[in-house]
Amino acid sequence: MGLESKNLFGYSGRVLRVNLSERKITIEEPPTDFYLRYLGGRGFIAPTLLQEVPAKADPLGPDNKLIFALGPLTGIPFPGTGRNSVGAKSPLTFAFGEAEAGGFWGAELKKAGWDALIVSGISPTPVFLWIQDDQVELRDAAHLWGLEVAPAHSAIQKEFGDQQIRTAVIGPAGEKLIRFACILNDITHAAGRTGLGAVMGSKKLKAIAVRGRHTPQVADQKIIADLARWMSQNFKEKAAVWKYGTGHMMEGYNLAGNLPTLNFQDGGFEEVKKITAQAVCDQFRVEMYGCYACPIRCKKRVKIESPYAVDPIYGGPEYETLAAFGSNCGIANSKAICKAHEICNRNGIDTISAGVTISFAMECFTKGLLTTKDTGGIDLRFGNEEAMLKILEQIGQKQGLGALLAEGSRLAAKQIGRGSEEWTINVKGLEVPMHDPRLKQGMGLHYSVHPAGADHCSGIHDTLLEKGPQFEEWSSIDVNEPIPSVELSPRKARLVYQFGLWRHLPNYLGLCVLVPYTAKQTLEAVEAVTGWPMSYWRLMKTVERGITLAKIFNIREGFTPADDSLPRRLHTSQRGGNLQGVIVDPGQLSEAQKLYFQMLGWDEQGIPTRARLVELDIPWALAYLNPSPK
Amino acid sequence: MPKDQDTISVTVRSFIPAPESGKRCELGRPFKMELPPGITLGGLAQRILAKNIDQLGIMAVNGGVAKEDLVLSPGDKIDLYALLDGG
Repeated sequence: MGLESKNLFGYSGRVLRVNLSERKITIEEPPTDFYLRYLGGRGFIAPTLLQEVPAKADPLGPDNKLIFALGPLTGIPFPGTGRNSVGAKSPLTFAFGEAEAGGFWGAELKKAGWDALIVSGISPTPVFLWIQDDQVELRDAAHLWGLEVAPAHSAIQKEFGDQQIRTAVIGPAGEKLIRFACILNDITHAAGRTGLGAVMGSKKLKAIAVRGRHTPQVADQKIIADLARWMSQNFKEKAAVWKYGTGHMMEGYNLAGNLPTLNFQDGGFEEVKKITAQAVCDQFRVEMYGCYACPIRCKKRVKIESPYAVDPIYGGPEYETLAAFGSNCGIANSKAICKAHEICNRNGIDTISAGVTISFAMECFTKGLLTTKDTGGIDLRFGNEEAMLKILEQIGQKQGLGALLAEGSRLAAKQIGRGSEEWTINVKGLEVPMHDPRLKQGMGLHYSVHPAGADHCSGIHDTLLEKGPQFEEWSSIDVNEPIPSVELSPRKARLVYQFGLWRHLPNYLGLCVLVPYTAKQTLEAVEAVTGWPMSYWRLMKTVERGITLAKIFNIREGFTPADDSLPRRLHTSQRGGNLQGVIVDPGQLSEAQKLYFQMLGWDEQGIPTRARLVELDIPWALAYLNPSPK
Repeated sequence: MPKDQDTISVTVRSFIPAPESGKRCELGRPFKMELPPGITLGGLAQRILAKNIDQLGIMAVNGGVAKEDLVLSPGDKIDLYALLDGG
């Protein structure tokens, strides 16, 4: 059945399935109801993982499925639509795993005529998937296996003689099953979190190369063209990210106590001015570049000759990277941070998990739990940039101490023992991003309850909601009052629920969170692309559906309320600075979690109720909460 | 030209787009402003950011966090930050 006969706009109406064990490629055409109910992105991933990955499956085994899912807006030519989602059971958290990436790959997959790609099984030998519109084939990747990300990307383009081919590639880290390996779109755009690169590596799938030549159809082209024009004319006034990329606000974060420093012991770094995005751009930037159809071009590309040669082909560090390898490791040399970023992209490593795992090891070293005997002579103290880079290279190669740290901070701490668990900054095993819950208490609540763990891309940034004027905008989703960032209260729980649903939404639509659309514009865009009458309520219900199914996935895997917790350090004060004395109060957090769960229609333990499953029109999911006795 | 006795000179850096302040207010770059004596930090922010005042997160004077009712002094260095970042 083709697109027109289903009256689907914004979608291709087809899902590609690839079974690597059987080398079998099949096509599915989901009913329109599937698209209406789940929209796309995370919305596709949650029901698919729950229904198709057996309970307790090995995340690195043949039963796990790796899902690439587009949203209805992915690949539609207006700014911010270069996004795709990736999901699987995570080898880092053993929970629902999910991440998003930008670039051009997702848009190319849409142009090739696919809404999602579901990969199952394990290939006996390395392969890559080649998708050219309807032509789909598995090809030998023996010549690519072992290559770093850029050479692998280039080799594929050369193989077909087409530089417009887009790739999603893993590096050596994914091949070596490093638990926080990532997948890179077009060399620099990472689906970073939860170790999905290791899942791809376990399947011996080196890359997915795509070339598409169809223009996706939309219901109302004029509205989309108007929106594209409006954003192109106004983005410089609406957001500052175009100038230096993310990380331009680090000095402000430093003052506010929101710049994780020395493994989250502090929230401010004396030498912050040396590591900001502005400092990096002023010294090393060769250009800004961007994603599909986006004029904002918020990605920086850096080049350094010495003492660390940094290849501009790997882009440049975002805020999370600047802070994770900078302040959080006590490192003030922006050249070293740029090198760390390059090492991560070369190998296909998540910069957040890598930085926070290294800062954990640095604290262990400082406190004598790791010695030079463990590190192979490396003086792994905070602030030692050479040591940070050596250990990062070791993680990429899974050698020396790096082999232990490649397991992630939680599993590494279990091996190190002797109380080191106190210094691992993770939620459900996923290292905490560079937004401190002691300042952003709603973000902390989100970290604690989110099925994927500490994910900043779908949490609320409390500081955005401290003041008045923007509530004229947010009242459309019933967010009406400013609330202090450091407050953790019933009304904050409501904010995390109500505004949080909206924060999740871009990951269902294939839309970038950094492009400053209003809620009204987002709603109009979905309607213009799909042709479906939409409402804020309907969009937010779709997100609830996805969150609920992801939660059920975790419950089935054995997760309990004890897993909905924050690292203990966040329940203690930073040692100085403007936020000194502020903690995430455990009692307030527990109370807020219960309220949040109940707002979602779950019980106080976080188990979705039958009533809510019926209300969300997913009663089938009840069977996964109450499996039939065998 | 003699300096106007009825103004104070301060240095401002804005990390928030300020289109109504013209080209002198380049993102993240310091520039000098002449202001009436007695002006508060909040008044300065309103004057620079205008309709983008809702993007303002935190303000600093001479490297320390400051509140909007602070009366500015000659030579002050002011930073205006939004508080949303990521990536």
